[in-house]
Amino acid sequence: MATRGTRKIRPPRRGLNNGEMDFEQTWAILASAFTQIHEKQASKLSYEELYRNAYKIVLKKKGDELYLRVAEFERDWLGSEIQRRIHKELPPQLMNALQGRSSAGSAGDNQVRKQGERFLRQLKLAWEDHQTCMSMLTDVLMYMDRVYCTDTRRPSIFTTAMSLFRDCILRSHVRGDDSWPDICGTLNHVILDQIRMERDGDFIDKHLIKVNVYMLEGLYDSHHEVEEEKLYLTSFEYEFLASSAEFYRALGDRLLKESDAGQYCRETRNRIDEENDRCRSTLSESTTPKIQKVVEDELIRYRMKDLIESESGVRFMITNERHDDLALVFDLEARVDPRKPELTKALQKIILEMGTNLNDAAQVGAAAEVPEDKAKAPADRLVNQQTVAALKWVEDVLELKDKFDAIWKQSFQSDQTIHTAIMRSTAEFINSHPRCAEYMSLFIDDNMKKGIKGKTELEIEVLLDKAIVLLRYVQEKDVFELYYKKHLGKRLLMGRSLSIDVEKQMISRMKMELGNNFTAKLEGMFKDMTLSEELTAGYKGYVARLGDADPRRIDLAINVLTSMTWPVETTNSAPDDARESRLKTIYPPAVERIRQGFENYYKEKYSGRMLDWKGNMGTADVKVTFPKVPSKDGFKERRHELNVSTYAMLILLLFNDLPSGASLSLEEIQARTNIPTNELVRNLQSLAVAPKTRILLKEPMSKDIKDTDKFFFNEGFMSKFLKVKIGIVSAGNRIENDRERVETEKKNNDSRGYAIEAAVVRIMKQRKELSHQQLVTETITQLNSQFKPDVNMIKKRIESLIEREYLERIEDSPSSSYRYLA
Amino acid sequence: MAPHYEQTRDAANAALLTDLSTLLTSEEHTDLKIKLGDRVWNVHKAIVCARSDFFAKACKGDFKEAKDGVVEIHDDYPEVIDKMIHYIYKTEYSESDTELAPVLFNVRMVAAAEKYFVKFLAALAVSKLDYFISNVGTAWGSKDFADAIAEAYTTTHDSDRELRDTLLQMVVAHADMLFRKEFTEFAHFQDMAAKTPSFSAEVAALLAKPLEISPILNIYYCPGDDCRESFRSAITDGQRVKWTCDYCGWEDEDDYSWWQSYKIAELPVVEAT
Repeated sequence: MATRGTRKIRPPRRGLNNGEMDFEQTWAILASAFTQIHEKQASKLSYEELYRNAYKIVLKKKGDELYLRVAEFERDWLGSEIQRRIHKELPPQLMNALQGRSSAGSAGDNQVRKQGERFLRQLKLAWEDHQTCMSMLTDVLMYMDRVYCTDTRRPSIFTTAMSLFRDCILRSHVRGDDSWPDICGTLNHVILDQIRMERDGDFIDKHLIKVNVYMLEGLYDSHHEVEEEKLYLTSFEYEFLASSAEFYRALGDRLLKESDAGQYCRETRNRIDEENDRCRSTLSESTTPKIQKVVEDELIRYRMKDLIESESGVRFMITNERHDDLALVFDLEARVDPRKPELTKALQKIILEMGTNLNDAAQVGAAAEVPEDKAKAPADRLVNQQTVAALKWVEDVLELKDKFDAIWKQSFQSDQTIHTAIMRSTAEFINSHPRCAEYMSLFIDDNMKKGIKGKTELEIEVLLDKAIVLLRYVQEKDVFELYYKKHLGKRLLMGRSLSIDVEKQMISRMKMELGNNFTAKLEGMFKDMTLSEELTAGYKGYVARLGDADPRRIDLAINVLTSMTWPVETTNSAPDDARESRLKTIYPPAVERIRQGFENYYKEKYSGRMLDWKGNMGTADVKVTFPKVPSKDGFKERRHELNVSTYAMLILLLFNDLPSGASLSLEEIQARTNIPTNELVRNLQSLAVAPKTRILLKEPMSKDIKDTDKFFFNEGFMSKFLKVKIGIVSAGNRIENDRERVETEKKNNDSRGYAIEAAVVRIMKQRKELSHQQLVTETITQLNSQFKPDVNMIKKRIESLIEREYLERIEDSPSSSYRYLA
Repeated sequence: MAPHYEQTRDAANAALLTDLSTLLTSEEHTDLKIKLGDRVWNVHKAIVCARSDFFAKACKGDFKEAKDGVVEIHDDYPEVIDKMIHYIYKTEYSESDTELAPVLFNVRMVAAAEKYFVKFLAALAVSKLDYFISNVGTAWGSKDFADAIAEAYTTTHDSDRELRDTLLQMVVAHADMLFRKEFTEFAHFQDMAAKTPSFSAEVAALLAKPLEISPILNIYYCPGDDCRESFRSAITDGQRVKWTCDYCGWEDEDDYSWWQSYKIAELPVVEAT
């Protein structure tokens, strides 16, 4: 009981637990202090006194009433004094101007602008004062906020006071006139007006607007203080975006009409940057993505198509190499759509058009083909022209591709989507040229024979790369292979290739690009060439060992070609010569002996192989002695070394046995040599018609060769050179004439047929049973790297395989299906 | 064992407290006066404002206190304010040197702590109060106890449950004695109860015969094919149970959600105990 009976100290004023508290009296103290605070005369007030009074009221459970009184006090203050100050800054002139109800001149404009700024300043002041005062009141009312408001879940007095500002100020109407927008609406108008001025190039007080925007951001549309209900969003932002959309729509119209596409792009970019800046400095950063979308929609998304297609659009930029402008266009569209559909579309269209122009130009160059049996020489010239056109086409295609590659790198940031689009369009126009594969092969042929002469390794490297790049576009790889084989064959056999090394490099690149299958046969051709060299050397040794050291022996260089590897036209004669090709070419005994000799040697090495001699492919060096004729050196026998085709050699040898001045007719020559007619005619043309190599004379002297023509040895042949090469008319690689092409096509179709059958059988062997649709799809997939198979052709091949009992139809299956027959 | 740096830290914390106490007694660098009647405390704004929201607000802004550097307070007990300032500097106070009964003193401390928003002080005062009334056997019967209750119910706010619950607990435990008119030694208490209706109402609520409300009992039926008997079971949402039917022994290891498909009715049952 230590504490019991202890004397208690009673402090002088112990008013709390027992003392009575008069609410009205206490509130009066607070109210008068609040007025002083609002009038900025708080410095004489004691915080403790105010706090204590408010504390007492709440402790006496009058928190409810206190709260209501404070709110009422604020409503009164805002609704009378502050409202009056704000409304004073809104003269009718300004209200009319904002509503567009009066058309003020530029002088009036300036005045309206000044008035607007004054209004903004006054509102800013009111808002800032309200904040300061309320923060002081909140401090004084801390106990009420923390105890009463928390217990009763009321919003803090600060929050309530902010709503009051919204209701009493922002929602008030000037002079109580409902036909005008409220202060909030007026504020929007004034701000938008200022922004309009800034967009037109004026300077405005950004800070002033920013403060007012802060206010809108700090207030909410209702007492739910959720993010989406911020006054800034519900009242201002919507109008801002709408008026901006309108502004940029008009700007877009004007720009499209008045400036070129490059300027348009620059202006658009500036405008976007400007709006970003505006959000940062004047409005709210939360608006940045929204206003960006508005500008992007109005100036880019809805306009891109018009812009790209305009006169100064993408086509103009490409033609005039406006790479910076193209980069701008790319930038802009990339902003609104990562797929850049309009730019892609436009590019594809332009490439296709430019490509089609190239195709047409090549067609014109190759056009007007003269029927073949008309005068041979002009026809040849025509063919040469066409070859030139073909080469030009390839060069042009390369140039076009380079051009777009450069644009792609410089302007389009090496964008993948654009790359694909460019690739696709390039492939499309290349493949729409029916002879693209042939032209490409010709291009390589031309370079192998002439183009690479005097070029550095690096340049050659570039060239090969280009060739491969082009090859990548060609869809019908099998056709290309056919032509390449043909051209390569001729190059190899006639020794026209400048560098076997480069040839081999080309093949190895193709191998990397198209795979082993594609190059196997081409490599086989090179192998044959190497083997043949060995054979030739081996044969020489063989002959030497036989001891037959005849000084007049004929040197033999031989090329043994594997028949399946080499192109058909080099190994087989043309089909219309079928009848003639059955006849064996008759070789004179001296040659025949050699031939036999080699065949013996070869059969010793490789038993069971057939050798088929190709008189049309070989060449021979023949030493010819012409009778003495007078010359400035006196009377002299003239010796010339003639390089002629094998057939031409046979023809010339006939004249060896002929007395001087005697003649042979065409028929006689043919009878004694069995050379096929067309080959004979061609050889006689080079020997008797071509002016510089007229070893024979013809009677009558004309360009055409007729059956009845007679041929004489030209004893008066003259040439400055010791060695004379007698070319065969049109032996070089050139574009095919129509007949040849039909043939090539037919051959190609045949080989495609085999490829399809092989693929079908492969697939069926593995799958056993398959529906028609699936089989066709798989076949196409398998063959896609070689060529694009024709569905009809596949159908026919399947039919044929069924006939030959590789496959059978599955009866009673719902969709047509096949079964593999082992 | 605690890492070495923790020991260092503990020592540093202790040193900080010592230094702060020294600061209080030496009154060096003080820049604020707290006045109550004729008593004056010289304190440091930085410390006082950091520990009490009231002083923080008073010293900020445009009010007189900020300019004068004096906060004059009213209606408080000097010895309580003195200990409160001690607490502000030392995080503790001792009531042994006051002349007041610890019960009454600590109630007043709670009131001051709440009025001046001194962090954690109210909680400390309540626990000290609890300690005294629980450990001094006859504290509940003292006049000071009754006075303390009266003050607690008028000087602290209703939502301060800790203080009220501590006092009520003691009152309820001895209600049979305290409220009997024949024990005149408790007349002071009974008088206080009559004058403090919010207190009496709370005691009455606690003394009323409590109701025990059982959890919701749902009725389920057994899914066993031959059984189909119904049950009552107090399973609540999310509870995982293994259930066996009392009638047929049907067993299932599934959880409550599986059970739900066999629920027939949901019945709240109130049973008096």
